[in-house]
Amino acid sequence: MELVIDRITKQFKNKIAVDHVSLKLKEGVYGLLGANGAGKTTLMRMMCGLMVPDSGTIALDGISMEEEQYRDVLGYLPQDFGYYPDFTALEFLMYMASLKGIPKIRAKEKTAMLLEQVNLKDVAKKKIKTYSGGMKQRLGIAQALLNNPNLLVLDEPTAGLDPKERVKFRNMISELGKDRIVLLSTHIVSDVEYIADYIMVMKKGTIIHKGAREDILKSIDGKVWECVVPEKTALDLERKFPVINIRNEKEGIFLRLVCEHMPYETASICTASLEDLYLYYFSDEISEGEGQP
Amino acid sequence: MNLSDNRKIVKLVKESYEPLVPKNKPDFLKKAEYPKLSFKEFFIGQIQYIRLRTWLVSILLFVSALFIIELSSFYNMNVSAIKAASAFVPFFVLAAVAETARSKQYGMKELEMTCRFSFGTLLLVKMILLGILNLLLLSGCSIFLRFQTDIKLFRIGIYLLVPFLLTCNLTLILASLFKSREITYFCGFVCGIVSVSCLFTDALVIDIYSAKYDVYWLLSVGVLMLVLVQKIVQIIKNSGGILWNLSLTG
Repeated sequence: MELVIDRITKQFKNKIAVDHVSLKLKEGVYGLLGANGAGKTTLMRMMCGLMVPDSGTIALDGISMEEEQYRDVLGYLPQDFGYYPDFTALEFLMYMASLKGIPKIRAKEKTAMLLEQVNLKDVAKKKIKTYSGGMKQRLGIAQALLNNPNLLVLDEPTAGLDPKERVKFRNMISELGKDRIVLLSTHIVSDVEYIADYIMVMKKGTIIHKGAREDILKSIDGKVWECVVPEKTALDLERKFPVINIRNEKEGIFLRLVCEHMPYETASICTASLEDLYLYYFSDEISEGEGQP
Repeated sequence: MNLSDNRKIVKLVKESYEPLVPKNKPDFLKKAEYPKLSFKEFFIGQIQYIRLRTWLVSILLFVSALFIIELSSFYNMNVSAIKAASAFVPFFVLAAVAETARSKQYGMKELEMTCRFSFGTLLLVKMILLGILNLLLLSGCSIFLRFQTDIKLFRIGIYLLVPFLLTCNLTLILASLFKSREITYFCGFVCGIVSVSCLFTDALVIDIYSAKYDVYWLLSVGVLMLVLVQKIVQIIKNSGGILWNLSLTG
């Protein structure tokens, strides 16, 4: 199984959302990291046939994303999915199953199995409008799995889930990634860190880094520092470098930051994490975002 | 051996042997190939997903239309009966529009677009099902009018088809122009205008429901029908493309 994305581009007026992105994905879990507006959702929407690329192609085992055979093996969870409020979870899943071309008897079995898997069995006959955010999200995950997809695209799947649900979901995704392509985007770096076999970092419409977690972290190896500094120096360092962690200590202010060279004479180098990498590449965009009302 | 003996044997076998507990059923189900829904099965299956509210509103409108026709013909006013029925027709369309615009209204379109049966196919199925319902209601009104007036059934049908097709066209134009979730309200406004216009048409053109204008009525039906077909094809193409192909109908 192979998903080939070949030089796809999408432009909205003056902004290039996705810029000549090429990828080859095989079975496994892929995490897509990027700040808001990096082009993650546009890329995912094109992969699901919701948007037509301005140029380039997307094909799964040679089947173009415009064809119905492609949609037949696709599972998609949008960032913010709608639902008919008068539907119960059971009705919703049966409706989605009918659109996915699953026969009624098979749909009933699959629906019952998935409702149990996402822990909604007891509330299956309650209207979706009475569900909490996390319950709706779990229902969204269940509908994406109805047709046992070969390609599973999940846009911010853990949003709204409580920590216990997130752990359960991570395990479920890891299991699913064994024999299919799972692509998930999230702002929650730790989710990607735990679940994804491969990580792709997207910035301004292009993939700036891709690879296994360890490989990708090599790009900031030797650039993550920890130090305890006086308050005035802390403010100065905060202005200059992306700060990952900051806390008050007896001796001064503790800082963990990403920097090309030693930022302070007592600073010690430490092992880089994915969160460090994220902050290193997106610190400019995070600062811009914080400045906005 | 008769049927009763057969049942007894089955019962005895069931009692004598302990059935095996299925092993790895979920894994088996996951990997097992199964025949997909045919287009015919999908089409029939969608009937249950049309809201009960839509059926009830349509029936209520139909009954109200019959009541008004009856009331108009009681005073022996043929034209009034036709006008009253025509004024109701746009609202049959409105009930159907509210149903087809549901995906947009509740944000389900994104999910529906990624399924095996394309969004275009789903839209087409809904339009056909609701179109059949509307045509049944129109036929019912026409037959009822035939008994209440001395106008021939064919002419009644034409008189009612014009406001029906006009409303269908206008609402489809609105649906293609406006992407907002409030599209049903815009369509409601248009239906209201067509409905009120039906009440005053004969004031603008005297004897409009007489035989001398029948050519124009017929011509209007033809033109509106052509525009409608063209509009439907355009909407389906724009909403995810493929109608269906032979592999789906198999």
